Amino acid sequence: MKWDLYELIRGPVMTGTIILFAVCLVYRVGQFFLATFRLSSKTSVYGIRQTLRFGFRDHIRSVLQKLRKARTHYRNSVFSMMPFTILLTVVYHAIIVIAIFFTVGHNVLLDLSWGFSFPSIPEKTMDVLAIFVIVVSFYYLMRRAFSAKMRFPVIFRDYLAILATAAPFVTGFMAYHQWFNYRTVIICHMISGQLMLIALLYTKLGHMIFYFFGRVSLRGELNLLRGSRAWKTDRKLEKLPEPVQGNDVDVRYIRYMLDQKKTQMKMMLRYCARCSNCAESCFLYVNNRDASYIPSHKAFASLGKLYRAKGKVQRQDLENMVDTIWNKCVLCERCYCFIGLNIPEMISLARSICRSQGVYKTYDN
Amino acid sequence: MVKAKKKPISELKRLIEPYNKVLNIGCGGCVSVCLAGGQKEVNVLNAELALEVGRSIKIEGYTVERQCRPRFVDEIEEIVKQFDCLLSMACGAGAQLLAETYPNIPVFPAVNTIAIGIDRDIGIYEEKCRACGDCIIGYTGGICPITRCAKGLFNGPCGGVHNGICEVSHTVACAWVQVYERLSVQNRLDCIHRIREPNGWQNQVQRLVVQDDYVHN
Repeated sequence: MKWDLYELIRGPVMTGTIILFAVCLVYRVGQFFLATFRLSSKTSVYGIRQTLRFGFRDHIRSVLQKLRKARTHYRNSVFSMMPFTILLTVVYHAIIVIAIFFTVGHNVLLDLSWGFSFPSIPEKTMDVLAIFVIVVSFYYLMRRAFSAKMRFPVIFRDYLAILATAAPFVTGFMAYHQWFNYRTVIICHMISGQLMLIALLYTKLGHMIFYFFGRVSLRGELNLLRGSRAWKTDRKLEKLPEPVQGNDVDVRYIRYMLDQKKTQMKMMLRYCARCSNCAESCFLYVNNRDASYIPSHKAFASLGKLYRAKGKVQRQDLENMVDTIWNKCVLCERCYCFIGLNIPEMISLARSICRSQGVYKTYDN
Repeated sequence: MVKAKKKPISELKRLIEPYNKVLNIGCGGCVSVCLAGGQKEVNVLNAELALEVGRSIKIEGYTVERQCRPRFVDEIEEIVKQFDCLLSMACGAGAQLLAETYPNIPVFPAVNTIAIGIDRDIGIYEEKCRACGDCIIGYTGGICPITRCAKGLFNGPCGGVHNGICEVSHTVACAWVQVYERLSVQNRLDCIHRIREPNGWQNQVQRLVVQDDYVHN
């Protein structure tokens, strides 16, 4: 048989990618469910037993009550704060999922290979949706590059993530309109799509999957539904820190503390999309309008650094964190994460680690 | 915020007398800010206690971010098991949550919770509110007679006032004279012309705060 790049990528590589995706998806979902446990229905969002019963009827009643006070709720909600961003984000993500399953071309290939297909949406509509995604991706890219709020915590990977998301749409659009060499373009399209599928599980693009854990499955006061699960700790804190001498830090103890909630924290640090939308929910950011007050940035500048260094930090590094995690955060736990990351949990762990090394904020100087 | 003051060391010594392994738990919240029970105060108190007790006992310290939040108190579950008794440097609320979370182990307060107050200077705090649950300062010119008046009068002043000074002590100003003066500046004296009914202090039970938007039942 003649060696053919198109056939190779369309056939075995695509099958391999999908199998790899499925296996990893099962792994990620399993990892999440192993790292969490089921709460009883009587446990409140704070993890304490509720004195009041909260059954299905109460659920309905509370929804009705919320509807009755819809205006107040709307005015107090994060939606009223940035309706444009939220609508854009929701539509953007929805189209990405729709495009994977309901594009005519995808379904034809699916039917040819495995003999089944999903319903397709008209090609003209898909064309418009693709243009929408490309335009919004460009907008996100520009925002990343030029908005002070977005630029502050930015690293190269953040641009790459947007480009990786837009690439299948750009190539798909080009392929549909038969621009350039169709064969080359369609191969690019398939490769970029496969890369995105893989990236969906290994990079921060995984927030598309983590979203359903974070906002739906976990119980939290800001979550979409009254979830039923809570994070486990990997290892309970069993020993107290030894007093440290002079400028030393006890790296072993820092590691020990980092390992406490490793699965949870690593997952949360990995899936943070760095969208900076949590900024608007931080009253300190709203008052100061300074990017260093963005909750996710505070978590990355403290706990993120500790995990990246695997606990091998100098005392000076810890002292530099004091300003971020004490002066710029009061741990009011009101930060609202669109993906459902528990930012205060990260900051409080960073604080505990600093405290264990005798680095903390004093209020009398 | 909540203001507290460290208990006398002799009292603490008496409390922990029968125990050999003591864990002193600080709080990173209000008591940290009022310099009564933060991590620094935990270290200081531990050193003082070790000297005071005289015999060799194990006194360790740990500071949680907030003792009034279950999830922070839960963190030290395994550590607590290694000790005979706990000292809590948090306010009464924090100490009680600690005692509730670890019912098998005695919890002793290391601070006296004094007041809800304001900061006059570093280390100097003034009581402003007694959390009576029925705020009337709207009618008294922003001065709380329950906190400020020695008798907690709702309709004052009483006969014990002399040149604006309370009979209790010559350093205590009469709250009601101040109320009168402030309201007269604002031309709102009609606010205190009407007799206010006494508050129903009797039958006070533990209060549960449920915000209207969050009522479940």
